[in-house]
Amino acid sequence: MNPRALLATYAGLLGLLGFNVLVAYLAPGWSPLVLLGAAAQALLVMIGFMELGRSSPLIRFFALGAWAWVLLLFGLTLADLLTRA
Amino acid sequence: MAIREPHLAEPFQTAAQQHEAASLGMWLFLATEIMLFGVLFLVIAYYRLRSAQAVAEAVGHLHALLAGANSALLLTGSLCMSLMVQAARQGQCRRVQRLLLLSAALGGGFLALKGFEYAWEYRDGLLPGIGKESPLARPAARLYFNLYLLATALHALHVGIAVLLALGMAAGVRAGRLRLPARATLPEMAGLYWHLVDMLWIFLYPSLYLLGRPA
Repeated sequence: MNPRALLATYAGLLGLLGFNVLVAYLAPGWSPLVLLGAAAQALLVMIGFMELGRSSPLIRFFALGAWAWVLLLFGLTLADLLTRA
Repeated sequence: MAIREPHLAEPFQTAAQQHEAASLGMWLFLATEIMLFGVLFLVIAYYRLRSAQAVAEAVGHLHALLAGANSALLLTGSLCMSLMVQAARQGQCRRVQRLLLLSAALGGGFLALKGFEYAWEYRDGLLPGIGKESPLARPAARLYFNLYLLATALHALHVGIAVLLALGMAAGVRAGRLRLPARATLPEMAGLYWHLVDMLWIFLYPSLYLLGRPA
């Protein structure tokens, strides 16, 4: 990553942070959108700062594997909570 | 047989091999951190779904703009760490030191602001178990504050470790123990840790402060 790409990543991160704060304050009804903003920020960090796009497939597999386990944890627990009468 | 470079560890013949192994090991460690915080995020989500009104009462007492400023500090620290890694690969020792110290200062600023926020909450009686009586009426709202304190304190501990790592490496470069660019993998791994701590806050901030703020 050259410094210009790093600065572009940083600008994107601050822009998304501003978007999240504005949504939470001006449109509280739409606040679940902030989770999308956060996910986009995390993607930017992983690709822009952690250079996952340039890593070997094995390293990318490990990095995404962690999130896959967390998703499984969320999926199974919340499926129980949300479908319980 | 090829002679190994002196900065390479025992099983490795080339810097690329060592870099790949170090990155893989670091990501495995980061995966355990993601899973540790993943459980905390799940508990936050569970609370929010089970006791939405009580959580909204608690969230209304949190200082979201102060925490937003803290987010900006941490993101700027991440940028400095990334620029530092670039400089380390090019062997620019003075620039590496300056960027490490800047990152450490930004991390220190995050911790100071977090401490100020805790002190504010203490004065308002919001912190669990200590101070005056809580203004939160619902027990579930007080329970949410326990969770908030646990999650943010665990994260602040991680920021503290990241700051110490940055300071330690700056001292290493200054003393000539950490030779660059030969050992640039080490600052790169510390950079990965910093970015992870940043990424955890990226999720903690909206899930604790922003979601479901009362209008």
